[in-house]
Amino acid sequence: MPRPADQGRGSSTNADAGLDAPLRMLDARATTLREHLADPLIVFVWASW
Amino acid sequence: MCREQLPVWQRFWKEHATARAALVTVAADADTAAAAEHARQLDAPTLIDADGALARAFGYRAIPNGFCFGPDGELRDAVIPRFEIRDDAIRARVEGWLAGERAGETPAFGAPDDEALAMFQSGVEAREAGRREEALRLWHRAYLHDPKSFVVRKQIWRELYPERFGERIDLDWQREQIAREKELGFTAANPALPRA
Repeated sequence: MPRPADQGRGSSTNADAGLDAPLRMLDARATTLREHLADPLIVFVWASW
Repeated sequence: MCREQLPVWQRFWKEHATARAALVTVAADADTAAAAEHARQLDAPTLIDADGALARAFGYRAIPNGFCFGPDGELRDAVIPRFEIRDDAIRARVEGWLAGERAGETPAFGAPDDEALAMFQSGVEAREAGRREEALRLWHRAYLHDPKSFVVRKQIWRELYPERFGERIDLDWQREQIAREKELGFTAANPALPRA
């Protein structure tokens, strides 16, 4: 499994792409992480599997 | 495991939330109904990333993952993968994020396999349209294109073997299945999978 140290360098490009990635609310409304920015915004990515 | 962290996050956030901070969770799940059911354990908002949009942005191939953004959108830190709030070191790192700490250096990311992710996304759309066989065929193709992707692999498992992902996730079975796939090859070890 890849570890951050094994991977390429990140950049603001990754951050912007992540913030603007098309996501959905549970009620199917479109949203992005950018709409949820806070000081700070903590994001936990999980799955039911 | 991913979803088993949800009640732990709920307790952690009750103890650590500040007026200015926010927690959102993102379910990287093609099965939105399953994600919604588990998300009920949390007060924090849950967003859905059914087709791998964040995997495309950050190049990750496994979850759980964590990110900390500043109010201006600056990415302050990331943990990929094994973002496990039950781990003392990760817990301390998140407490640092809440205290305004950031990574000592720019977080590093892998390059996404855009072609595999596009096939995966098409599979999600097929599944949503009720075309399960087509979805599995596309996910199979996506996996063969990017065999390091646990995001694709586990979505396939979830669809083929729902009984292994019930109330309790069968980790012993997952270990055995990985061994079978290593021995027989992915396609032979998942005989119900439509040909890619």
